[in-house]
Amino acid sequence: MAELRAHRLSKHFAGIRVVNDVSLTLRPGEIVGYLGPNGSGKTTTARMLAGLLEQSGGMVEYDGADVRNDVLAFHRHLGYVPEEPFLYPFLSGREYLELVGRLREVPERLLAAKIDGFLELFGLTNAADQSIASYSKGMRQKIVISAALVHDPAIVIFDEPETGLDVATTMMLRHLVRTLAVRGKAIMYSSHILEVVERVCDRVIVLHKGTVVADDSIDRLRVLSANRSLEGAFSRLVIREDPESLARNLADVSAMSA
Amino acid sequence: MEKRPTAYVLLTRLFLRQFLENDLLSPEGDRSQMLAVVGASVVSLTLFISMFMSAQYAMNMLVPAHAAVQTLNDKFFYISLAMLVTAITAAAQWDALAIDQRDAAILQPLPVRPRTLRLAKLTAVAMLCGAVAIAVNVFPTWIFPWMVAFSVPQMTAQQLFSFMAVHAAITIPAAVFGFLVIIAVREGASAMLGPRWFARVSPTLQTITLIGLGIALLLLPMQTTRVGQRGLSGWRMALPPTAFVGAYEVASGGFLADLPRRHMTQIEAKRDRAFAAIYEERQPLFPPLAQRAQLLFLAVAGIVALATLINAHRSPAAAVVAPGRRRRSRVTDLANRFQRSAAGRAGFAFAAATIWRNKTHRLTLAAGGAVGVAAVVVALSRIDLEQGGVSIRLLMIQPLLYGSLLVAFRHLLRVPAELRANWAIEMAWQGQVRAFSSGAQTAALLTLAAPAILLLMPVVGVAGGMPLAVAHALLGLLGAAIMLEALMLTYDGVPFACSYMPGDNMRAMGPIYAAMFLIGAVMFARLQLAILSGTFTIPGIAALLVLLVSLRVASSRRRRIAQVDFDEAPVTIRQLGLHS
Repeated sequence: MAELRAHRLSKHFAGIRVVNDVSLTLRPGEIVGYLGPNGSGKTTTARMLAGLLEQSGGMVEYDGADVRNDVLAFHRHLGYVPEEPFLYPFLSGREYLELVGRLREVPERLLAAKIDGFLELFGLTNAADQSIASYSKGMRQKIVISAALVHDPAIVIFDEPETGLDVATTMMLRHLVRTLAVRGKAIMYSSHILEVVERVCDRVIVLHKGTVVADDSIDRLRVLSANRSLEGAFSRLVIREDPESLARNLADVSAMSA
Repeated sequence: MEKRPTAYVLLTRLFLRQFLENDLLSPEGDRSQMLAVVGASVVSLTLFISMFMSAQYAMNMLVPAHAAVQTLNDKFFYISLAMLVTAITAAAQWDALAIDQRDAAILQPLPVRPRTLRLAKLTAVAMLCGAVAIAVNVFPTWIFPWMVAFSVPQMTAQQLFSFMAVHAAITIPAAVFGFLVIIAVREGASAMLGPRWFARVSPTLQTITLIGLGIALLLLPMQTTRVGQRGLSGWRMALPPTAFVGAYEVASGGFLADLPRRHMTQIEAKRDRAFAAIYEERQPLFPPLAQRAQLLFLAVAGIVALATLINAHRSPAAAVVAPGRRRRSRVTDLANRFQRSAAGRAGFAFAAATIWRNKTHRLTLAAGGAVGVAAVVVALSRIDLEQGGVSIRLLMIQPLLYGSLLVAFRHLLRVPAELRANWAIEMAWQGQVRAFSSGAQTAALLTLAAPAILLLMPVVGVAGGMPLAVAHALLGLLGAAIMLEALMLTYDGVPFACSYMPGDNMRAMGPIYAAMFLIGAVMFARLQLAILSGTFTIPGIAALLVLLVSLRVASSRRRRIAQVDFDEAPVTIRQLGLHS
């Protein structure tokens, strides 16, 4: 299986640089955690890696070739779970998965079996024929995850996939990610939840204001930052304010009375 | 101490805002812009219509009896217009007329009494109804009586103001009646079917209602011509606007016919006597008609009240409950049967779903269908089916109907089903534009053209017998396939997954396209007649098949570079307006 490499990726919107010289590699069987505060450029990077957003500079390579040369071929190997699960609200969950599977040219019988499997495992069988408009955010997220895996991709990019999911599904998702990696998939896992990243990922890239500030294994990050937890390491790398005093101030504002 | 708005006030404001943020009228639209557009449309439409309709009075001096008969036409028109505009407004706001599943899901967990919720919704609906009823009648109320006064100078100032007051007093309740009829249909259906079944049939019912109202609006000018002269008998007598015309005449006391006569020439005196006889003939009908108008209003209001009471005891959230068993999709069956490639099946299923379920698409199709049906009604109104025989005019109705629907479909291809969701197609896309478009095309043929053709089969059957009707229907399917191929020939995008791009120079080209469409329908009907009468059967069918094959070949040779459009920037970037 092939690697996905990003070389000095950058992106600016209206002159504002959102991602700056990001380089990373996703190897088969490896889960790379992508961490960063809100607005640090995680989603922008993920969209550039998925070929959904044109980069302002740099290059994304898959199997040694620039993905822009043949985006369609690259997409055959890619599964993408976006941060915002925008779906066609007038389709049912089953119809949506059929649409995606057919466009990916999954054989009809295999597709039907896969869709039934995903719907059953995600507990969506009863809601499968209802319109997506009536789905909760978690249900939509489950449909998006199913759609990303329906064609058995070699690379999967998860952009905050646990948004809206219940505890049981989040736990199942962690196991799913690990299982996919064991089966040789290259996985990028972008998340806010440090505990999940710590348990699931082999390597972590930390992004701050669009720039990579750390790229290493979790153990080495702990050692380098002289912290026993990933949370401590992350705090040292990107958090400038004292969280405790900020929390106290917020509680004070909440307690204000007339 | 600062006065805070109550829950009732807040909810009423929320529901009023919902009317402007309606998916059908303004998906993703700006609220203030929408308000300005709707307001300007209603006001300028009624101003233009009032000026146009009243021009005849400004240019002619009328004898009183002539004015009395002539104004019956305009009264019928303004009453019908008021009813139809408010009814269309109500039908467009279909889901927002009652507390729906979304309201229930969002508002039920809040500490708000259900009674307050219902009262707020009722107030918002009443305010919308009142606003539209006044907006649609404000200019006619001022302009129409003034213009009539120009042509009948005997009218005193007091009579003029009384005329205006009566016009407002009749047309505003007529407009409210139109609004109430739609609420009665919606709430009545909901009360009878229950929330779950109503949720299933509601989109179809809304579409049928909109098509019906659209057709009625298009046919209104033709049907209101010379109502006074032709009389109020037959089917016209059964129409609600006729009852309100009766109420109008009773309320005004028929004062126009009784105005003092000035010096008249012999011809004018003769005309006055003739029109006075016509008016006197109609006069006895007015009191019972006025009574019927009252009864109709009360009956519809009663149905609304009863159905609302029944529905108030049911939770709209009940409609969200899962059906429990898997429904095998008929669309999937059709897609599998008619499309061999996976992308073709995807295109078929996606097109069949979006054109009927997406509100913007449904509205466009409803408009296309309304134009087609209006054309069919106009064509049929001049055919005596009982005489038998097949004419070009009769055969023309078929291409007119399916043609209007297919033209609407062609326009829809450029309207994205949901721009933000197109990223999924972009990710899964393998460049199969030809197969995907072909699937969408087959969906249009089977779900739009074929039902339209089947709908008209009995009409042709009455005139020429069922074997001929079947042959005509098959020829129609062939014609629809050719038309679709021709329409799709220049389309290079991914159907329903591209940003909307308005057509170039439509103001100049629109009439030319319309003329071409009419000429094409006539020519196709002529060819059909030649084929069906046996004078040109084999060459005619061969010519159509050659045309279809040629178009398919030309289409497949066309090099298409299709791109899926979507909001590619992350949400935060879009919200900050940084994405240029």
